[in-house]
Amino acid sequence: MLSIEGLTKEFGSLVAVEDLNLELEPGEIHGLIGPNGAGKTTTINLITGELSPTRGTITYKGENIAGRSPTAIANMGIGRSFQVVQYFPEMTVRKHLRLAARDSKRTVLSAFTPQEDYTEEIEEVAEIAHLDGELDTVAKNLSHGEQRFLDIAMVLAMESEVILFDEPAAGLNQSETEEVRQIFEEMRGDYTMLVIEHDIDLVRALSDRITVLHNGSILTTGSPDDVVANETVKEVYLGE
Amino acid sequence: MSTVAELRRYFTETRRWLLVPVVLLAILPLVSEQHLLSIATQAIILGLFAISVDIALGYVGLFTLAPAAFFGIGAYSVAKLVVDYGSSFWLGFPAAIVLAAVIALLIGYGPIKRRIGLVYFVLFTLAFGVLVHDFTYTTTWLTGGSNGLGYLTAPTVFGIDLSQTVPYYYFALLGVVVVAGLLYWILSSDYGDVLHATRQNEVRMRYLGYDTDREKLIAWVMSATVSSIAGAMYVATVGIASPSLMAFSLTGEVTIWVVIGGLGTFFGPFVAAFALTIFESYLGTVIPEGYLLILGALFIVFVFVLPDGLVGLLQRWRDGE
Repeated sequence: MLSIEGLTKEFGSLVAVEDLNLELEPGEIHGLIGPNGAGKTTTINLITGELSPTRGTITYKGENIAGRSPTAIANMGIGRSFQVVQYFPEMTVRKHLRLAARDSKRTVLSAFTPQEDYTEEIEEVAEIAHLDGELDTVAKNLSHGEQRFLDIAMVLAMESEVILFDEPAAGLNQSETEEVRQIFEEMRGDYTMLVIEHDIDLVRALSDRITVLHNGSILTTGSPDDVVANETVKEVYLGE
Repeated sequence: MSTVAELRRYFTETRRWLLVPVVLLAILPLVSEQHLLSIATQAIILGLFAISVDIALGYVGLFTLAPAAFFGIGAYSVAKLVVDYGSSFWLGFPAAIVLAAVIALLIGYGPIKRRIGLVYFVLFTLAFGVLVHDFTYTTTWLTGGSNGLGYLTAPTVFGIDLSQTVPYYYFALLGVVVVAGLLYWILSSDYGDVLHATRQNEVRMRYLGYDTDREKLIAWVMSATVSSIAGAMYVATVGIASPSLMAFSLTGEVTIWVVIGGLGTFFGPFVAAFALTIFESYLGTVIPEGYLLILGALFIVFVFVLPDGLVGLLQRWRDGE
């Protein structure tokens, strides 16, 4: 589905990601964990076009997308959420989802054509993201947890095939984290997902496979149970 | 539901209220003296000018200090064709639109594509505005220099002499309603939300697949073009295209109107520009230098107390706050 080979990102003398090889299988939830500074967010930024790699390829749908713009990559079907939640504070949830659902290539002249009705898609996505009661709420008035759900809902509404989540449960309480888990369970199988998360219990519960990054390189990849049992992982990340 | 609540709903949830100001403006010549009507003509044109600036500043968040430059380009396009070439007054309008669009595209493409940032964009447009203003002063052979290009009047159409106050008022009103109506149509569609969202969080828009550089550039050119249309309509009310129509003071004034009316609210800047232009003419007879002082004071009050402008105030009233 998405294949990364030899991906390297250097910032001067600092090597943030080094010779990374990763293959996302269709429909899997792939956890990406590691201590701070391991290169997790840099990896997502490289895949989504925020950063250009120093070396390596990112192949999606048979094309090397490394170095393309975020807009081009989003339009190819790769969506992302952010560590610091990103939304439009003065807009309602409904407008967020409408913007995400509509064809982003339609520009000013689209005003003179009939406006599409996305009501069904919006309500469906809002229900999955536990926002069905908040469609007419202005985003700045949502709780932090709901703003996180909105970030997820926008990616769902844009009908991405591959979704990259950067700490979707950051700053959430226990019940909100449980809601995030439920949302991911609803999405399971319909999307290919790469999830960065520090809540190891959540990652274990969600992931089909987990990759551990350390100092920009892959420490190990495997099933959640195997990874958690790995002695090196315990030493450098789990602190056991 | 109380009567007040019903009134609130009627005036805010339906768009029928839009007819009220149009009808009031249409009957103004029946109750107004000639002098006031001349001022009102300028006021509705400046209202359109304020809307054009709101597209860049309020909708998409491009803080420009060059609106007067495009307003002046519109005025000079008409004056040059009529005064120097004896051409048709009407030919000045397409000339103004094309010239403003081309210049806006040329000067906007680089800064927007390169994402030079808010501060540098402000400085860049300030430099452009000053450059254009000085250009009109120094290129006497082209622009008439400090004397400007004049004198011109609007022509007679179908036996109606547009150089007279009442006919030109109706021409200006019709022009403003048509152009503003077209803009309102565009900005109240999903495209208006695309611009609003780009201002609120450009990064998120890019990751939703939007080419935000393209949308900003379109809004920028649209804003400049409408500014030039306003300038083209305005020049016949003063008879001369002079450097004062490109002066930074006009840019400052229109920016304050937009802030007082409410950024990104479309109608707010029109109302503020219209009301304050009328107010300026009345105040001029009492305290000639008082207008700018009061305008400055209003600006400070709105920035600190009512940052959402007049429309924000109305919205609070609607929401019962």
